[in-house]
Amino acid sequence: MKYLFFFITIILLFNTSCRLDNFLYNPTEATEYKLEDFDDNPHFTLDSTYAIDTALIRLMTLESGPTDDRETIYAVYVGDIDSIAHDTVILYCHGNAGNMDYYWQRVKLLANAGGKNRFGVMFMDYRGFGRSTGKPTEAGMYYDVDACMKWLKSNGLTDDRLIMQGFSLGCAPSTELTANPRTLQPSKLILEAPFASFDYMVQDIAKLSLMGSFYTNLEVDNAEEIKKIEEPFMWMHGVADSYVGIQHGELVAMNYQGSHKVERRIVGADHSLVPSTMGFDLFMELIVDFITGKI
Amino acid sequence: MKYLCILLLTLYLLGTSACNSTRIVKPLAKKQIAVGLDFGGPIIDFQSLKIPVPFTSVTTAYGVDSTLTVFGSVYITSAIFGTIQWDMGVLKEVLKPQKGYIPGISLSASTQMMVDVFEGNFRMYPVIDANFYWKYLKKQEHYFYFNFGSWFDFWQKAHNQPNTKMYYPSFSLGHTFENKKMRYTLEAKYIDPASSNLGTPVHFNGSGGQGSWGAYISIYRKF
Repeated sequence: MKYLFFFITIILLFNTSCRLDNFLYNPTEATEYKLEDFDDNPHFTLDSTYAIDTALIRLMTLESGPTDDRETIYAVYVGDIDSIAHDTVILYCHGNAGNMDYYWQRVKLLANAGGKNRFGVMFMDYRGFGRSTGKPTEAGMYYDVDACMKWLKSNGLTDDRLIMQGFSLGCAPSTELTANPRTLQPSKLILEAPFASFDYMVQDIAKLSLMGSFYTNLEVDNAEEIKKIEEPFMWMHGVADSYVGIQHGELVAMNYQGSHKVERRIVGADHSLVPSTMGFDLFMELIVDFITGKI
Repeated sequence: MKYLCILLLTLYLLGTSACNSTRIVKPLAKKQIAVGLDFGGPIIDFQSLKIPVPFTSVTTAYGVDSTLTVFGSVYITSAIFGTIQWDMGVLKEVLKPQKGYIPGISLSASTQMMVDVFEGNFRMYPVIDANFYWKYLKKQEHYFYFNFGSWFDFWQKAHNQPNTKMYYPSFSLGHTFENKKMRYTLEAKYIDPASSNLGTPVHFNGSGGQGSWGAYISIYRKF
């Protein structure tokens, strides 16, 4: 009996300490942001014609989350802040690795879509990424994106001019906060290389029908949350995605039940290479056409 | 007796769900107990290394008679992540090793079960193994073996996706060094060669983007 008790105690001790939740996040801390001067771009670097006037790049800190889970996060707004009251703004949620420096090239593409600074673009480092304080959590990620929405709203942004865009992990807060709006209700949703859910991810890896709860407490479920969204939706995914297979995005797109869906399967594109495989001009044109309602 | 064993195996397979693993290839002696540690898993890319997933389990086996062994395992790695995983099985030797090249043959049926302590989700998978083993030295107990394993998955997939693949085969080659008290085994396995291993954050090492190689070691003490 004492051995059984000992065994159960050991199991419970283990159970309170280890989950795979943290493996979702792969942040890089930073002492400063380099943005244009960052020379470790992992995927592609744009030429000088995409450069953004430094006067239109605003680095800021925001307080994020309730008092018992509050952190200071860093965010960047690209564009004329005075124009937020009448501009269309893309709120961009980055992937699970690095920090804002690693995604600056992608943000520049958005800031150049349809002409230089035609759309305002905001992105942020989730807690634990870059200079943002704290540790990454699923709930914290949603607080952090919502903190940006609060800042945008305080500067005059309204629901109808907010475009939510997510890449990879960033598809989770993008989908969650479009499906279950907090401060603002995004008017359109763009997902690039989303994963369906952790159950789906686990089964994709293990092949067996294992449950996500065997490994994590994460509740990210883009494939279910997308069902609540009626706003126009665009999905892009590399057919050759070796990290989040295209079947994830296929399921998310299939589950969308709204009336306006644009799907783009990019032949030959790996996980992080949709823009460069499509061609930057084509990628930007696609973004503009979707936002303006041309497609 | 032969038919009783087949019946037991079948009932176990159909009733509590079934079958095995390669932890026990050859039956223990009657009333013999073995306790051991198994370590290893599919080989994945980890940073710049290729390592076996460090699955670890503790197994106990008991020889009901000289041809029938029952065994059970608990999985330490799963417990660390909050999932209680265990299996139970029975192995029957159907042919003793013969002179020459004719191997001993055993069949086993086991059930892999797991439940997480957070949401109580449960899964159970029947496993069936066929083992062929060659004892190649007259005065030694060492043997090498080939295993053909079969996992079955009858559960619904996530998001009500159809379960289009219910059968997962594996093939193993291993060698066991055995004396009166101890048993040491090295095993190489090829897991699920018919499934693509691409398009996931975990990069398995299989041939042509299919399945995964695995590597395992085990150490058992016999009583």
